[in-house]
Amino acid sequence: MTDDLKDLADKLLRDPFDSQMRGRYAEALFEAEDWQASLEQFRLLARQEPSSAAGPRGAARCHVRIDDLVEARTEYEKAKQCADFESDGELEEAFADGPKPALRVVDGGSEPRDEEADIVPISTARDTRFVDIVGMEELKKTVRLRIVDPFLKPGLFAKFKKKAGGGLLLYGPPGCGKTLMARAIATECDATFIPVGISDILSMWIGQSEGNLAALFEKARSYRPSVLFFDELDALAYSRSKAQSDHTRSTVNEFLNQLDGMGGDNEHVLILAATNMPWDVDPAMKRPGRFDRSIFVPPPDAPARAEMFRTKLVDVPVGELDYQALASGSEFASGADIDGIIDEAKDRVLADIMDSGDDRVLTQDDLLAAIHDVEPSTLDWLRTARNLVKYGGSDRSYKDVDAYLKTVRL
Amino acid sequence: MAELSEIQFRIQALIERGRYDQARGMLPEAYTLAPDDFANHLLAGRIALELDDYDAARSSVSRALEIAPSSIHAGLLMFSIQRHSEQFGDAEQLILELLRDNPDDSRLFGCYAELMLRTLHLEKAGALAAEALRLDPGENLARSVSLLVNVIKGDKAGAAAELEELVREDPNAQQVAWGIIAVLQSEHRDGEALEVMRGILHAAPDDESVVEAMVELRVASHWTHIPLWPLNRYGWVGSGALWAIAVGSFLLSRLFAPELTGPLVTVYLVYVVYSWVWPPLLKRWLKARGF
Repeated sequence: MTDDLKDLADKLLRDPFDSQMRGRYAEALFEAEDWQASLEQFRLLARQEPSSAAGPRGAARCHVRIDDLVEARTEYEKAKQCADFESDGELEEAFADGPKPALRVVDGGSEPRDEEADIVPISTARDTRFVDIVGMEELKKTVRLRIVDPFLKPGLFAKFKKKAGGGLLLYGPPGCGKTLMARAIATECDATFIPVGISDILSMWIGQSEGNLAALFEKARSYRPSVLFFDELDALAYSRSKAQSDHTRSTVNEFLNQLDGMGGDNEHVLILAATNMPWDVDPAMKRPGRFDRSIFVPPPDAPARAEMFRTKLVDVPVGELDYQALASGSEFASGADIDGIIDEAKDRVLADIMDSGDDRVLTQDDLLAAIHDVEPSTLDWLRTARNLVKYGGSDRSYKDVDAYLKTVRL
Repeated sequence: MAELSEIQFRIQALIERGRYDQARGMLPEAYTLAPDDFANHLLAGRIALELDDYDAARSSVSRALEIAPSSIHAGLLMFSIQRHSEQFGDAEQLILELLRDNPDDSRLFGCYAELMLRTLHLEKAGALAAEALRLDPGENLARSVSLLVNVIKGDKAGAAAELEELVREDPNAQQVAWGIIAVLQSEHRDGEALEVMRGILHAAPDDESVVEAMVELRVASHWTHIPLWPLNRYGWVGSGALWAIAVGSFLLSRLFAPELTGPLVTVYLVYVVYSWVWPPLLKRWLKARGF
């Protein structure tokens, strides 16, 4: 997957309801000659924007590329019904040369497709592996042992009455790689990755949010082995004692039912979730059989930060840099913060070049000054978590955070 | 318009989950679809209020009130803004106007009662809360106000009865936890109040005022604080009584056992220094170390 595609996929993951982004992603896949994936995206676009011709016209173009002229013609006819339809020369030409529409045989043997579940795409951004994640070695080891291996070697674990699948909650400060880790887990498990955001579920219509949730779980079961990933779990499984609306409470109830396997067997469905605010997640979510395993994703350690600086500055004109010094100066910085630091340093260099007219490279001093100016975004989170650890009593939910906080000085 | 309702629903959901920045990020989308929509202004006002941006909140709600001057939702939101920005006079004026138009609305009485409690007009707060509860016995804000008024007045039985009602209505609500803490503290059961407060901390660990209150409770319930019990329990009366007892003891010891006067004075001075120095030291130590 090219950087552009990856970038578009990331943006789409953040907001699957952004139809403009979906259109661009579909076009990019089309350009990359991934017809099937592009077709899927154009179909989703057509569902999101039923009044626009862009979805069916794009789907028609994909069908032409995969030699399914009958479907292509059907899609093109749909596009013609839309107000913004514009004829497509390439398609008109293909239809002029190709076969005429034929009667279709309905395949009675196939499983009925769950239309609702198609709203959320199966991610194509599946090529992140553990080796692609800088640092987090201990965490990767733990995840491999506790999550990936049971998934890949179910026989061995079954001997010890351990099931593959289940729920895992990744929590920690923002920008520290929880989502990346979830994707890597899906890839390492060789499972279908189904990312879910709050906007995929929440609907203003009564019962629709619960329906969307059930449909997603059903979809995950039908694609097993699969990884169902809920980003920002606190938004979806918001603590019922704090919720003000019945709507939120009933969505959480349905979520609990699905986790308990009321809608079907969740074996070989790994349910991953990530949250910055584990204290906002309904406590019932963390009971056995649900998200009973939780892993703290801390800010990157010094070697990881050094490696991040090295990796992110590869194509940037730089002078001689002491990466260890940069790492030790940027304690608590997340991956996102390091991006911010580098951007800030680049701005300094560019401003300097503009002022003086002399070209120069990015230096250690620029980066150190930028580090000084950028406050790590993880600090607020760590201070909040420290309150829980120090004053929260005998609750051991945050024991990993406790262990981490003992190794640092806030 | 369906799309606008969907966006407004999502903004509402984000507000409910405390994701105010995200909710604010979605506002332009809603405003693009309907630049002068009443609900958009109201949502913008709520978000701004939650983010303590009172000027922006006031401006959004004013626009909503221009569209629907008699809206009780907009009126109540403006009242909240004024209350939070400590414009208590304006807030009272507004709630009176709202009450004039809606004399049977228990929520308005509850809000007025809370305002009176905040400004320490206890009698009025109690009466307004009672009126709100007469109109609607399930009006929990008024119930909480009534509970706190009872606690402040020292009416433990009344406070316990209100608390019982609150727990019955919604045992998980945070205001119930605060009510329990108020009752426990009024009974000087600081250790138990601390345990209830831990529950609040688990729900809102970023609230520094909760942490401060917990540290205070832990200090008050620490075993090294036992000698200070008379001072904590009876305040100035306790301190005055201790002083009188000490002076009396010195006088008596000088008359009947002069050899004890020195040790007695020493003990008293140590106690005075300890009562003055130890609590802040303990507080700092507990805050640093946790408990």
